[in-house]
Amino acid sequence: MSRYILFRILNIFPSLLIISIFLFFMSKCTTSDPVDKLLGTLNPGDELIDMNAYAQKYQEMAQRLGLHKPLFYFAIVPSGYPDTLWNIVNLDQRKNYKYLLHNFGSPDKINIYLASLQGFVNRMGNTLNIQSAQAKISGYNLLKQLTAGYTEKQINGLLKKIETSFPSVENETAFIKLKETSQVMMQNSQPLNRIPRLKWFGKDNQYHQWLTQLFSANFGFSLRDGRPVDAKIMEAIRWTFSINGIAIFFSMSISILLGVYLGAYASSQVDRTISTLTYIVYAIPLFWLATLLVMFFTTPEYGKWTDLFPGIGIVRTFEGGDFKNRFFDSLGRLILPILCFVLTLATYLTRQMRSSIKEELAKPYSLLLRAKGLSKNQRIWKYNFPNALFPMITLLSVIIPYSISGSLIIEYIFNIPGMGRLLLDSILFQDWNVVFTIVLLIAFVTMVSILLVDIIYAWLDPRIRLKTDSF
Amino acid sequence: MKKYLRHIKKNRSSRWALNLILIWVLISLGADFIANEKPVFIKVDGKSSFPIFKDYIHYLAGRQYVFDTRLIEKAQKVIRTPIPYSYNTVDLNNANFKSPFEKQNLESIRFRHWLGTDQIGRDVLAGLVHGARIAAIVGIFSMVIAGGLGLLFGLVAGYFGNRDLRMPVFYGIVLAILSCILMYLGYINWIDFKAQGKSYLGIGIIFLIIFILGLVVFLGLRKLRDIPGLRSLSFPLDSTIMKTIELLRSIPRLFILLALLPLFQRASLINIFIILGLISWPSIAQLIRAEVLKVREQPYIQSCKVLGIQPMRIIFHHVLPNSLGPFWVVLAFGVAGSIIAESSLSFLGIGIPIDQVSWGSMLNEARGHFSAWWLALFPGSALFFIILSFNIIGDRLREIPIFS
Repeated sequence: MSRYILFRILNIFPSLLIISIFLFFMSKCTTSDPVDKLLGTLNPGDELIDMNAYAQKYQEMAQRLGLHKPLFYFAIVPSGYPDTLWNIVNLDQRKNYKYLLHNFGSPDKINIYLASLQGFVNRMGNTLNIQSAQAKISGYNLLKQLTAGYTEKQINGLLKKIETSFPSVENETAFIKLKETSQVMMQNSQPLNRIPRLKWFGKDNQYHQWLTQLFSANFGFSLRDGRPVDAKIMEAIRWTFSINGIAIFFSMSISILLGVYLGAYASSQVDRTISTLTYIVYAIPLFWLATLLVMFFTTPEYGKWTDLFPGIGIVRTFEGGDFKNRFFDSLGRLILPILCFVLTLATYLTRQMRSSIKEELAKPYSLLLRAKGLSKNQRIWKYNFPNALFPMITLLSVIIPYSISGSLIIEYIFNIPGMGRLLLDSILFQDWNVVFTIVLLIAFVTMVSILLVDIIYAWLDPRIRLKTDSF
Repeated sequence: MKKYLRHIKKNRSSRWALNLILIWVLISLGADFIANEKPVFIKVDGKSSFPIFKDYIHYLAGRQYVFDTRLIEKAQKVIRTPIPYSYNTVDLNNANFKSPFEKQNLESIRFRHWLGTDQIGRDVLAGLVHGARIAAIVGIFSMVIAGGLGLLFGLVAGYFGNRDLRMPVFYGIVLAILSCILMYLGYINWIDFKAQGKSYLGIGIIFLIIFILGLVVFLGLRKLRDIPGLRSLSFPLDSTIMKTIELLRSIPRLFILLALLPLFQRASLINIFIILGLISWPSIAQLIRAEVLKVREQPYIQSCKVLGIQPMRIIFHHVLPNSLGPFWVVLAFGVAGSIIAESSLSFLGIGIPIDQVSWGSMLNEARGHFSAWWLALFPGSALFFIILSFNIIGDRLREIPIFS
């Protein structure tokens, strides 16, 4: 048994590692710039200060977050790529640099071009500030396009456009230098060395940093309000856990009792009615049920008697108090969400329990019990029920992921500040740190619950543990 | 197939379910001819045209077709669809949640909003028709992808297991290196094409060439595979696939969708059903695998092997037809699951384009306005009846002995 448990626990780590790599790379595919966002949240109104100071701040913040490091332990890239490529923090800039490399080949000339471009952009910013509003907008647009341009046609066209729309720049040294360097870069273009090379970065990479921070419970900062992610999640997770726990407890107890009864008296009038009912309720989508309940039972819109429950949402005035006080204060508001949950979960579980008991009753040993002369209650509760519980245990590994995704919708509809609500809000704000931490956490919880179910199952059923003990 | 249909039709409730699904498919196919602000046929100043067909042609050509609705008033002859509103037609005269029973501000009863309107005056019935189409697209196409993947992975995992896919070590290494090189080439080419700002056609051709080259190499290696004297190694195909399934199962489907969909720059229905298809194959694969494990021990498969028939032929000609039973059952439940997933997503307002109307997005609108019961009741019951129908069909199919 201990060997089986050890084997199963060790088995979980590679899976978690793969998921973490997958999620890490997904979080790097996001479109928004985390540094920009974090700077915007920490000191609002910062974009208004001049570009040089902002760029300095940007670089500092990126260094602090470790975003200037390479992504992974190694990379297979063309040998023509310079090592400095990974020092470019902004993903758009990095992409642009890559395209320039593919088009013109030599990194030195591209660096010189980019430096003169930076100089020109700063210079141009000062010139544009004294222009009219319309000229300012079109000028900034042109500059933006120029910094994102990477083909010969684009760059030449844009330079010409700037020259025609702002004749005053023609004599400026920065512009002349930019033109020169761009010509040098484009005319001396050489093919990029595309032979693959394995680059080994060692431990000094972003993934390693992220993983070590995860192990020391440091999940980074929320891009929305600059608070640590784990504090935000801990605040939310209590709501999710308590609602899920209560709902699963109630639905389990209801469905076990009801399921045993229905299974024992199968095809009686009661069984047929309730089975049809559960079949119908089972097909109702959770979010529709919740919307209908909220709509018809929380407002006096449809007559006086429909105003049975308090409105949705955990009231803001409780926000100051601690979780326990807030929970008990808003217990009345939690009745409806929990009811929704119990209804959908219990119908599913009741159907499973019913068929499981029916199966047991059809087995030969049940006939023997009857022949022995035991009463129906004795037979069912003492002999059939424990056997019928086996499949219910495996169902736990289905219920837990189901209820986690269910609570997402329930929290959305009933305005409960739980984890699902936090996830949705973070997605809408593009707060990817929080999003991917929550998804990782959910993967972990689901895996652990599946593991626990397997272990309990093996503990109860010797056949499984004997089979796996052999290797 | 006919036999199964007869079995479904024998039972009253499953007959109804089948009819309902048929109606749903028909509505979603002809949604443009049921609810549309453009007329089917119009004759203005002696010139007749068919705006809906024109719309199709323009769509296929990748253009936008704008129909001037003022033409209808001038027309000599006009044939309109049964519901003279598109899902996105804004009727300002009847905006702000008009109930189905309320007095509506209309020219004639022909233009009545039979199921009411929403906040900006869009017709609920037209939205329902369009929502049926979206549900059908997502439900059916995602299950086509998931079914294909599940069938393939289930078959090979069950048939080859961990031991039967053998290959000489040398060729395995060559194959691995070759595929790495091909992947690298593809990646570099992709960046090259993007850097030069060229069309995607070039990338497609390059990938096709790479694919064909890889296929030729692979087939060539297969011919050389049975040279005696080379030490061969088995590839643990079954464990690999089962591990992938375990990984996919560890994150609930809704969360994968929620984390992945916002990463796309443009929201589109295609993203939803492709991702849904790519993540919902595990249950199908597991079932098929279990069935294949039973079938492969049968004497006729053993005799096929003894006769020296190629493994792929055995799999597709002998194993597949005999293990397909439960496939249809999971597929029926799978379509229902996909529809629920899509409507939950649009209910949460993520993934689906903003200008689209689906059953879920209508329900979400009802959430903000409690007196508009029609916005919650009709889309929800459409959803409920479709899901119920698929559940009934699935359960009925399961009663056939070879299906369970």
